Amino acid sequence: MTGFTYRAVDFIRAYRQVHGLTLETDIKKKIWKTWLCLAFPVQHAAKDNIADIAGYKVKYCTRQSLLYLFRNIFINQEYLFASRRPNPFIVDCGSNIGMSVLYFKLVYPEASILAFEPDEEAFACLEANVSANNLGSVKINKKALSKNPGEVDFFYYPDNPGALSMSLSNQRAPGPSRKVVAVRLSDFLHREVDFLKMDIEGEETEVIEEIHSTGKLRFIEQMVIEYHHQIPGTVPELSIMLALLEDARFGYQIGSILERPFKTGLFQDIMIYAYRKGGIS
Amino acid sequence: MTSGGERTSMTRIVLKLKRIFGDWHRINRLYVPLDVKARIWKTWFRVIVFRRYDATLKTAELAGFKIRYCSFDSMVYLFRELFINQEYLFVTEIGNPFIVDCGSNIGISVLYFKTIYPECAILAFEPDEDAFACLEENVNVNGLKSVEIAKKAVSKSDSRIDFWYSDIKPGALGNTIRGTTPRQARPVDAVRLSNYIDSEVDFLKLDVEGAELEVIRELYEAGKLRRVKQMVIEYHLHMTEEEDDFSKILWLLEDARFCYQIGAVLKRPFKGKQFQPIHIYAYRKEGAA
Repeated sequence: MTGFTYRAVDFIRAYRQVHGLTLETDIKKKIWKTWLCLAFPVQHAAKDNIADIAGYKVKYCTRQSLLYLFRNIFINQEYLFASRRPNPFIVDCGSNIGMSVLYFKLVYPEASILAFEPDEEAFACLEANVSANNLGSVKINKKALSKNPGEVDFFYYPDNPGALSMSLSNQRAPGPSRKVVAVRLSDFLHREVDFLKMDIEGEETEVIEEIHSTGKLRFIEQMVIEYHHQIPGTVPELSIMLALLEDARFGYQIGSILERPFKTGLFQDIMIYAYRKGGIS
Repeated sequence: MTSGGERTSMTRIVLKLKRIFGDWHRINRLYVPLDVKARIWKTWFRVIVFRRYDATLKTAELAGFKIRYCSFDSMVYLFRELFINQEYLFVTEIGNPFIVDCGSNIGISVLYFKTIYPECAILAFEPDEDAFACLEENVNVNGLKSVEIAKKAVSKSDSRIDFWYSDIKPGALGNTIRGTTPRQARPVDAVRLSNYIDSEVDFLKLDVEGAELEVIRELYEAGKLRRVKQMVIEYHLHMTEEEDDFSKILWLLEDARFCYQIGAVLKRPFKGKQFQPIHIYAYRKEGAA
């Protein structure tokens, strides 16, 4: 019975999330249709790992991570921001198979996007998804972001291609590792950024520090950072990230889920939405 | 055609049903002893659904306790947060934990702690005149043992300070020692929390409407923060729009070797400069005090 109530509550929540927001009606329809197809799947052989997501042909690595990304990005609208112009410049750090790119293009069809993804398999999907759906003004880079440019170890999951927690940190992903090319984000920021999305599995503090030290942090008008709190084997240091943002005169709001009864030693994803206060300099 | 008025009442019914359905779902899956659950069910049906309470004397029966309240709505809000959402449910192996409750309002939190740990000892602070009167009565009428209550504000120094309140809503949940809105003020006694902490504190609840940073800093500087094993802090982000200093309280916790978990609701589309309550659940890492 509780299982049924949970599903009913969850279904109503998803409906309200999709329909309660300030999106255009045809976008809501597309998302809701995809949700129904995914929630009540018709039995058919999956062909070449391709799914129809909100009107896009999406090539994916695993169905499980596709569902997770769809739920978070399209249903929960994790990255919905209000833009001042119809053609915002968006920087997407950690794009995986590109669900976030497709989402930004759905909400702002004229957006220009700069995307980073270092993983071999995820990047192949990202590339296929950008070209198969004829997305204009999207530039993709098969690079990792770090404060030290050059070749770095990238820890991945051999039996879970395109996994969502692949990382430059061995504490976040157990390995094995392969070499990828890392670049400094500040070398790519030359003009005002309307929105920056960052989900880079533990490197976020160093990258923010790097763009702050080169004076590029003030180029960003709004950003959402997925902060990885208490990765096993690390000490909590969220205060460092927030102090950087405060120092660069950013305001912020926080999002995270706290379990009851209180549990100790948990890893948490903390969403930080940060916005620039005052002008560009 | 439906008129605007009908639509509004329709929406109200839908919202009410949703709330009742949500409450029912949450009480149903509560992981508490059966007798406690039965008392919560009873209160929910009697007080919330069927509205059985004494509006003239301002009394109601809540989870097996006789309660006097200042405002019915804020009492129901506190009951939902504490008993249905279990906002302060912590786990300890100690049968009689020592709990410090800062910002008790009318004492629903005290009753909640006494419900989950009947043998616990509680030290409660509440500076508001009206809320304290209810708190005192609720502790006495229900015969709660080992509960000490103090009509004081916790702050960075021992002094008389202004306490901002609203005379239209006695005992309101936002009454504070930090005057940010033009309301009335009256002087109250303020104390340093460190003066009261001599033994180990098993659980500290801090909900002091904006004074949390100065209280934690005072404990930290007095070397008493390490006496606290677990705590939950309700941090108030953006008491004023331009003020972003959440990093400071986290730094104090990190420096005192605490780990923590965070709870907060982030709305979409993103919007800045919004007042936001953030729950910090912090716990001491092992090591000497």
